[in-house]
Amino acid sequence: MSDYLSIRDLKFSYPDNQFQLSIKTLQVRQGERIAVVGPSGSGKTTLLNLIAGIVLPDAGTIMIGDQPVVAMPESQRRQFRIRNIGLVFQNFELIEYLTNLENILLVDYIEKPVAVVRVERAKVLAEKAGLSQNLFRYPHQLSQGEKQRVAICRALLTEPSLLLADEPTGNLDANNKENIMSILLDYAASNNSTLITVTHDQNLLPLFDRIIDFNELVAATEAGGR
Amino acid sequence: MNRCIAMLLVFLMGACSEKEQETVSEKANTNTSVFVAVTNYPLQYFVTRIAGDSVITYFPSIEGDPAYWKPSNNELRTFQQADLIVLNGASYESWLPYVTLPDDKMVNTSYSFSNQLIEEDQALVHKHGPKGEHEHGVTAFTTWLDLQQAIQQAAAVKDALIKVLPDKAGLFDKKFTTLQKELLSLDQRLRLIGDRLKHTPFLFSHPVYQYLQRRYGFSGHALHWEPDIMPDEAQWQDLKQVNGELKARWMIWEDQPLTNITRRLEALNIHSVVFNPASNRSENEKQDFIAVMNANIAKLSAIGRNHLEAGK
Amino acid sequence: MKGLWHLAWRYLCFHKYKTLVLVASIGLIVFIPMGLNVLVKKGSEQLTARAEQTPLMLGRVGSPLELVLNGLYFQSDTPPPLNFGDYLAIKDMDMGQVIPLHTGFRSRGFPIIGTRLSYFSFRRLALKEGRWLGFLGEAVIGASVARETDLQVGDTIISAPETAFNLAGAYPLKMTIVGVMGKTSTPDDDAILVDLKTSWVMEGLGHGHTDLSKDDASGFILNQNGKSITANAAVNQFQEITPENIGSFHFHGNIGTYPVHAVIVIPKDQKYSALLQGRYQSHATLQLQNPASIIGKLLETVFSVRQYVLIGASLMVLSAGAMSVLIFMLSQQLRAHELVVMKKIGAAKGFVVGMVTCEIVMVMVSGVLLGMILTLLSEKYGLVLLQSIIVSGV
Repeated sequence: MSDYLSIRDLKFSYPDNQFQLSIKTLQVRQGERIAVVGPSGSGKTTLLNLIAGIVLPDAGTIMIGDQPVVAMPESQRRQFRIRNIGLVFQNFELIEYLTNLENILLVDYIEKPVAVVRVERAKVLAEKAGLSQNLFRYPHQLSQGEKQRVAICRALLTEPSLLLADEPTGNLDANNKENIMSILLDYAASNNSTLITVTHDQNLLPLFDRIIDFNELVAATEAGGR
Repeated sequence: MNRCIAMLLVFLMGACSEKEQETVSEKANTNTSVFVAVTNYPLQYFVTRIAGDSVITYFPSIEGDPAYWKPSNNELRTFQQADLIVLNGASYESWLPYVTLPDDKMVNTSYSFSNQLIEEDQALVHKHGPKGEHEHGVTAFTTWLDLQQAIQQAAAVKDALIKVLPDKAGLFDKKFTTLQKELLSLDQRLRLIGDRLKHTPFLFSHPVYQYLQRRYGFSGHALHWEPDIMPDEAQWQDLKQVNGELKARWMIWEDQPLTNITRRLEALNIHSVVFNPASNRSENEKQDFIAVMNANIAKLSAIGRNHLEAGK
Repeated sequence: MKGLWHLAWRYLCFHKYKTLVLVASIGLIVFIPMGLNVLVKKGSEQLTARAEQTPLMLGRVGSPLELVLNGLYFQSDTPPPLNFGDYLAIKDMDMGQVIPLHTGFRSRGFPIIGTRLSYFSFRRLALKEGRWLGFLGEAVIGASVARETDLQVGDTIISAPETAFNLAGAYPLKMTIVGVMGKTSTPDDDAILVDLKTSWVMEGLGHGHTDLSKDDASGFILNQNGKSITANAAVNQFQEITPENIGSFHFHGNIGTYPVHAVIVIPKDQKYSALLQGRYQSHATLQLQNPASIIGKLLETVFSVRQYVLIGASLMVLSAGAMSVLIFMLSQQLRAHELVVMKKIGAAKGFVVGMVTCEIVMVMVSGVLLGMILTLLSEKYGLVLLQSIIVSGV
């Protein structure tokens, strides 16, 4: 398997310089399922934001596939993110005033007119996630597990080649954790998509191909960077 | 505060006018001719003589004396829609106080001599309380029997017609002049008769000849006898009592009395003479106002000459 | 683009109460100045139209405004009356049409206007059902009277007594309704129109009673001296005029002293108008006013007050606008996280701005439409509605 995600000499700091992140190198193969662990506030979410192109590093390169994410203009980066990257958040981040079906189709509302074929795909995803009965209800009418499943369906609508999940099971009970992780992992396996999951849950680690200790990743950079 | 509210209320009157079924000015028919309503036959005659076909004259179909007529709803409505309402005045139209008529369309033909009207002193008057307002006495209303007054009434009709049809002023003036001459001729002839008979006392069947009496000097006493009802004994006694002093040999009737009345009067040496006041239209269309008055004058002129019987 | 509108629409629908409040606020912001302007304009047009339709008005010396308000709108206190003789005097001048008005009585809160038949053609009144006045004691009612009292042709209406204990004065008269007029949206809708003589009957100047010359009337006679009968207070005066007793109705005293409260004068032309005004200019007991001029002065006062009202309304509009902006800004603050999520998912900054702009546009357009609809409605119904609110409050 070839490298799908490649990070080199990445440096990032927030404007107030309270937080600084440096990563010398990180390679992830296509189809690999990675768990990133580390203490809170260490910069794991920031790493995902950098990979997704939501924020730009101060220095360094990020290649996804053969696309230099950092070098892209903003609009191209956004487009790339919409088409290739699926995002799953700890707090689900569903839009409260949209129905669950509309939440799944959110990307299309943002990017282009909603096509019938996309609606059908959304319904299929929802069915696989056990959400068929809740399509026209609102997020506040769902349980935590159901909400996260809607969020995952949203992330999978565009059949992304890269899934970034930030604590996807952080607010769920044991049953739902298992459920959610199986959806993500099954998708990654069946579509040869790369999955990078930030998690604190030790019980989930055996499910992944590789576990990256974030502190070690950053420390290696520091050691190499001195 | 109330003034402010009143002003605010006044200010808040809304808009949107709608025209609906009819307005007061809508005529009874769609004919655009001038429509003149009159209340007795003499006035109808004057209007017809002066205006002819220039107007449509409306005189309701009335049984008996028009002075006692009361309009029905339909008749009143017709009057309301007239372009001109010609009234006799002098309280002739006793119904006038309790009807609604457009007063800008009304003309009182006796207005010019209203200060010379005769108040009937035989009427019962009443008042409310010692200091209450009095009811006015009854006014004698057969004004046209004084032919000078008839001329004034005809003049009032002419003036009113000219106001409504100013383009026809010349024609109306001319026709009035002709009518005036005829009425003057009647007046002169009656004056001669009155002069001749000024010492002849008369009985009158009803008090309707006041103006005739005043103008032409006929003196006498008025009864309340109907030509078609035999008076009762009390009335005959009353007659004898009155005539005991009056010594009248002639009784003037509005209409031909019953034969048995005339016979009994003849027995008392009282002859009956009919003087038709012409209040209402004659059954004989040829007997217009002038013809009726000519007939009246002929009968009066025969008094004292041929001792005519009643009715001839 | 379609997605923008869809998301904006969904947001507004989900927060429907907030959206309604915003739309209503904007609607009011639009309606208050426009509606006020329309009401004032309409009111002044109607006020002016009725005043301009009435060239001159004759009354007893006193407040010109009271005379005009009473004679045109039947509001305000009844001015002191002039005599019928004064009406006859101006009529005899033959300088134009004259129409007397008696406004001293009311029934169920509606003014009873005693007048002549010419009033109806002058005001271009039309019948919806029934017929015009014919006989004493009949009444023709306006559209609002008919609607609010549920009275129709054939029903009766009683004038309100001036006082229950004034036996020699005005007393209630039961009148028969013979006609109902069509709606005119003028003060005539609220009027009960009767013949002037009927008003005089209510004044006690005319009445009908038992024939005192009949034998069965002996109980009502105080004194009889020859042909003169004095009736006592027990005489039975009819309180309703019927076809059977109408013949007994009569008037006492000098008709020239009978009261009227105003006379509408329509001069034949400008020359006669000037002549008439000259004649009454320094009259000791009468005033001849030009209603358009009086109402014009009233409107000047109203318009000067309107400035302050408009300033007040503008301040209110500004504060309502500020509140709307504040509500909007606060709601955007509350949505900040949602908008960040959209950007994370891939929405451009322009998209987020566009979505919020669509929301603003939808709310603004709805609010403006609402304001314009309210303005149109106020143009048609506003004055009537406001009048009924104030009347019910009074």
